[in-house]
Amino acid sequence: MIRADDLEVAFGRQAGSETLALGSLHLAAGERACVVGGSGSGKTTLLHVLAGIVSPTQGRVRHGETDLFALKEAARDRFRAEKIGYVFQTAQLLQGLSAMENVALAASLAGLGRADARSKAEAILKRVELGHRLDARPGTLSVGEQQRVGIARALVTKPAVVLADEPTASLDERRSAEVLDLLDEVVAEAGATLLLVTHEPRVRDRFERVLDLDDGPLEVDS
Amino acid sequence: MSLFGLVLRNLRLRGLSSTLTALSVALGTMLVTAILILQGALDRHYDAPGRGYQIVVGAPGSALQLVLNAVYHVDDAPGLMPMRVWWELEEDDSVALAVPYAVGDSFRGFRVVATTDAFFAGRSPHPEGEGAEKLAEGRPFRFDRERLEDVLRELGAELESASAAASASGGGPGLAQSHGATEGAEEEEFGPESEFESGSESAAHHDDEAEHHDDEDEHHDDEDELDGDEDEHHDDEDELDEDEDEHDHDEDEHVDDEDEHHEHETHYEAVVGAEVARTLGVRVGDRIEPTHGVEGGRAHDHEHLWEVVGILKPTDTPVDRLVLIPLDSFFSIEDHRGGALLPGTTEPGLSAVLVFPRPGVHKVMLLSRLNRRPEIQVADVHEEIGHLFDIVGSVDVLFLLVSILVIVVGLLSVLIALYNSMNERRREVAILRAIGAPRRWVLGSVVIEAALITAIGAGLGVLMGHALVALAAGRVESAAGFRPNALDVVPTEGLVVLLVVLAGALAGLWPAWKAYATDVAENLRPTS
Repeated sequence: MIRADDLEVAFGRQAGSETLALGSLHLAAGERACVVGGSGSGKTTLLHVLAGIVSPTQGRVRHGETDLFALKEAARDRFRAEKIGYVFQTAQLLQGLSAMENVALAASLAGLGRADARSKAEAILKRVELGHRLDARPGTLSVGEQQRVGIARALVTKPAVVLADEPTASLDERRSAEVLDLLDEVVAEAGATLLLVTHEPRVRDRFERVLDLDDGPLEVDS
Repeated sequence: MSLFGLVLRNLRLRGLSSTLTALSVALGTMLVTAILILQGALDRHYDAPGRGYQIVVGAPGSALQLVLNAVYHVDDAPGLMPMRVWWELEEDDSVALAVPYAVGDSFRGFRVVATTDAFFAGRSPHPEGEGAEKLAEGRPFRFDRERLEDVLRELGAELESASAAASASGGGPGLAQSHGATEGAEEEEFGPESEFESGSESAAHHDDEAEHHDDEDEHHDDEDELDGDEDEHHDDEDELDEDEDEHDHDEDEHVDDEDEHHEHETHYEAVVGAEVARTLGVRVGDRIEPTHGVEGGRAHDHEHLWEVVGILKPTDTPVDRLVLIPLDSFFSIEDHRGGALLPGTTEPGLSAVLVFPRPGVHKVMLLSRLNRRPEIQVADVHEEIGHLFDIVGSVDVLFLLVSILVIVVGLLSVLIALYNSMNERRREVAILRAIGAPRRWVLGSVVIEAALITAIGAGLGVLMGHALVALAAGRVESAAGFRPNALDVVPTEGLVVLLVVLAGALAGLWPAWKAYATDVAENLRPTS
């Protein structure tokens, strides 16, 4: 469960720069929702705040009973590694590491031992139908395969929350549908809450709950 | 995937850059390592071997050159000094031992030193021991003093006038009354009174000769032939003394005298240093033929071969690389006859005399007296080695500073390479942070990467330093007279590696800080 209240963030590099009101957002455990909005409306920033990557200038974020920004930075990093899965617009895999190593790295950061991390990484990669590409380097994977590795990395720790930032932006329609189907499946299997940012109508149409930042700061019941 | 695994992956990913950076560190470490090995070798080959030597007397010129030539057997001898100075030194009550050297020949790259049995005296420092104790195998060569005199006379040397000069200078008796060099070495058994006796042969002298020969008998029990020769030697010596009293400067009588001395025999015998034996596979009983010139020039035009009769114990000093032959055999070589006399005189010459003063104030007194004589150069070995180390030490420091600068440049290249790579790695750092990597993990990965690059570079540099010494060993040997051992491990090598790695880790702190401070949100934005 996510409870974000009265969020406001600064943007721009200078101190005292402008602030952006993101509003409030409550998501129940296992709920699926998407965030839409025009460019610069704060979609990605909202995900960063919910992930604890960007600190809000105002408001607070609670994941279950945990007040995310009451944690010290190192504890927040560890919380993110264990409880939050993040899927990027492009897969953002680390070059030089195999598909297995990319996924196992996320598991290691969540505190799993080497063998356990590799075992879980292998299992989730098989789940996303990449069991035959465990040792493949990112450069040898197709864009769709890379995104599936990205999904596996986000879900290897069975997080409570999955935040996906336009995960199909770089995919064609067919591959986009495949990736979204897969994401839905594995998120549902993990029982995680999913918040997905998109600007694509066909993606938006897959969600019952749509939060539109173009309408102004989010309301709790929006 | 551990932190270290990620660092290794980063090194692989930037393989060329990492390799070049490590190489730049390796170059500096290589130079420092090579200098440290050379310093160690220099200390061993110039400090330790110089111990035990006190004074070197030679031809006027550079005192350092004299010491380098006579003690370390590098460089050329400054020239010839009058042989009578040797005889005077033997009779000087401040002198415990005087070892004459005549140099200029070599045997297959190893220098030949013509000397006397004084070399085998206990006071002669390398190898330790006396007589056969200095030898790993065989026996000392036989030096025939009377034969030397004969040979010198054949060369036209006016020994009597030299003896007179010796007497005139207060140094002691003339040649005919001088003692064998080994006698001077036997300080305990040889009192100052008997050393200073002058004039005709004394009973003490005979006693000493007898003792000397008894010693030789001990060393060469099995050498019946040698003992027989020595007995002859005594008889002939007495005859020579009488002859000299009666026939000063009389050429005709001198010829008669020569006839008598023909009974003496030149022993073409050699004793070789341990390294000569090891390197050339020379064994006792082999016959060798020295060549003219220390660089191994042309062969002598003579009919003699020198039989190797002994091999010295290893000393880890330049003595290991010497071939020792009796002085009388050296002057018997036809090629040496032209250069045996001081130019424009009838005085025989020597390359140098190693002088070992008696303990106490004798060294100071001796130096004071010898320094007043214009025809010779006197070098205090310790003083000259001190000068040498002052010179070499300054050069060493300069080289070391340059090498350290090269290491600093290498470390800067580590810093620059990592700092520049941070621009490419900001996105990667942002991804790592987004999936839960703490800042200190990111900082640590860069510092470890810097330390690892420098550790690889430093380790490689140490190996390259040893390889450099191996490659340069021959040149160092020909230029400085010692051959550094590339397998020598200097204790400070480990310290150098540790310091370089620490400095590398420090150099990595700046780029690491840049990684630490990476704005995650900013760098996660899509690039297209």
